[in-house]
Amino acid sequence: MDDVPTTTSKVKASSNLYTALLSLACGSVAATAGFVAYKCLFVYGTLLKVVDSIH
Amino acid sequence: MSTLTKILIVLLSLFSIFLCGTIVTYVGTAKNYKQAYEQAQTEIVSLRQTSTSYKTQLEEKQRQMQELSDKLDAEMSKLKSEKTKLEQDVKNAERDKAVLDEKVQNLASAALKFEGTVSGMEGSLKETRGELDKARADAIKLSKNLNEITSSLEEKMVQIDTLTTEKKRLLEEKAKLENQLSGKAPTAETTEPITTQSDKATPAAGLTPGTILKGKVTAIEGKLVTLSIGTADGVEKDMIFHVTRNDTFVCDIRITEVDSEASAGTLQLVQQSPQVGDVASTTW
Repeated sequence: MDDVPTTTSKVKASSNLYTALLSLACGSVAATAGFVAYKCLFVYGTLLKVVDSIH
Repeated sequence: MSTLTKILIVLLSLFSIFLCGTIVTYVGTAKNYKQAYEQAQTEIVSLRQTSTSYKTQLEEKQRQMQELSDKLDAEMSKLKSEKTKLEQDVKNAERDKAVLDEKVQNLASAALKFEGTVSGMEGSLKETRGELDKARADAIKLSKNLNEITSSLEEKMVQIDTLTTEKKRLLEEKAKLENQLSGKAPTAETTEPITTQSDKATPAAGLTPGTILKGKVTAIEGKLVTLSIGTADGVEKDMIFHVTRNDTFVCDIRITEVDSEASAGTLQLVQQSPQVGDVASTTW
């Protein structure tokens, strides 16, 4: 516990390259989720509701 | 930052990108089942409507077919009855035809017999006409001879009258000459014989009043009687014919109408009713 600094100083990235990679990964996941949501809303008319079986 | 952290960051980024690409590809190329469902639902509704329409049309067609079938059945039964009737008529017509054929054959045979009879009668008629023409020619010849004989007789009678007159004149002249010879003074004047000298007799031409005419009664209509002789035979108006039958006097006929081949007159002194074929003559 003593090794953990207790100061609330500003966090600073140790490497901008890996930060950019993480941002790219998060952005792609968000874009994919938005695209999937758009398609579900456009095709089935709802986002989360399960489509009833065809009678 | 440790090396392991760096490796995990890189791997996480790569897998995230790969997984997002896969998901986007799958979702983007996924089939639109809603649209397919709606299209299928629309097609089902349309097909159901079409099926209903086809069923209605089928029922209508079946009803029309049933009506047509009933109508055709009725017409067939009617035509069958007419056919039966026509067959009966044909049989009757054939039977009538057979009867008429038999009648025609009978009439044809009768016509042939009648034709033969007519041919025979025509031959007899021709023979009779020939005999009649011959008899007429003989009658004309005899009448001509009779007229000639009558004319000759009349001529002879006239000659006899002339000779008698001449004889009388000569006797008178003889008496006169005897008187002169007996002493009577002759007279200066010339005496004329009392009997004049007549002209010489000339042959009579044609018929003479003394010609005997003879004919037959051909028709009787009341008091009018028709004779078979006329002006060609010498008959004249107002002549009197004596009708006899087997040497028995029947009546007299005064001629009132004269034709070339016939004459007609009224009855007089009727003793019996005249009949066709009675003999009419100007003398007894």
